Amino acid sequence: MNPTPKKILLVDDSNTVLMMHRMLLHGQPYELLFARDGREAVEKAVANKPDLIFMDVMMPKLSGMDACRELRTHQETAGTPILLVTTRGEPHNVEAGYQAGCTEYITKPFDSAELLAKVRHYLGA
Amino acid sequence: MSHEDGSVLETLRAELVMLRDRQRELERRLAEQEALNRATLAHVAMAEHQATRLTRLYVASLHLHGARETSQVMEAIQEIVGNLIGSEELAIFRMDESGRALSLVSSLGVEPERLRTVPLGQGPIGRAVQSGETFIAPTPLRAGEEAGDAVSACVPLRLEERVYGALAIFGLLPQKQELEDVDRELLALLADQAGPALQRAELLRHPAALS
Repeated sequence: MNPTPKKILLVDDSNTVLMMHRMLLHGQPYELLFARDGREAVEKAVANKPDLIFMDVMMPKLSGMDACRELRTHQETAGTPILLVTTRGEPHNVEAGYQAGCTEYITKPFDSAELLAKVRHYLGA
Repeated sequence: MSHEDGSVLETLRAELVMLRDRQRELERRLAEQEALNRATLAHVAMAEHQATRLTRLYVASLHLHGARETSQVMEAIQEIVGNLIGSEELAIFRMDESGRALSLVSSLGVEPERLRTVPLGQGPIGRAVQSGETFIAPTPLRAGEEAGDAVSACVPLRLEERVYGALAIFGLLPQKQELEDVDRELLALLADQAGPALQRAELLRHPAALS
């Protein structure tokens, strides 16, 4: 019997980024979930309990920082690894990310090798 | 030492020699296996690198050609530059009707006034378009840095044999140190595919031009 695949929630308002995620993780033993803004991310995360979340910071409706804060208040997602992804890598932005409850803070431009390495680190090869 | 003791000693020495030979053989095979593992890992890393290179190009191309409106093509270019190359400061130009200057069509993160019109042959943007060759500055600008008419890169957007317009990239994100080979590939793709995508969107907007 195949084990239940681990779930990854990918959150970004950019079609380019979501398409990159989809292509790079296609064929790997993970179930991919997608959200286009912070509000949708919170709803999908609480309902589906993903094992890992990659989330953009700058998004409509609810920013990645606010969504991260909210996810930490839900029992279902309080301990889920959340990797915030942003163009802003300055120390004060990184600090704000950690204060919002993120597990890691990674910067754009999109780095495929980094994405795959993080997935392997958190979910195993 | 008795004759018997000497014989035992000889036997032990022979066994020791044999065991050392065996140890050397095992060490040699272990080193071979480790070299094989390193080579395999290097092949896997190279295959992953190639796959991600192609994925970037595929996604960029798909996104450009999936856009049906001019604003969507602009958005696609901004997303490609922002998310895959690493700059949130860019300008997109179109050649004006005289063919002697570029007119600003869209910009992000830069003051548009100073870029409204760029004469061909002037500054790095005008010179790149006149030559038809992509220009990449040896030292890229940092985000927020303004240095006269300097750019990090300027890509003439081609449409068949002529230049349709240009994409200028200004400051790179703070964590992006330089434009790498994979970025140059994306710029080459934009040079060839952004122009046709923009023209198609314009034709869809004004279908009368098709007839």
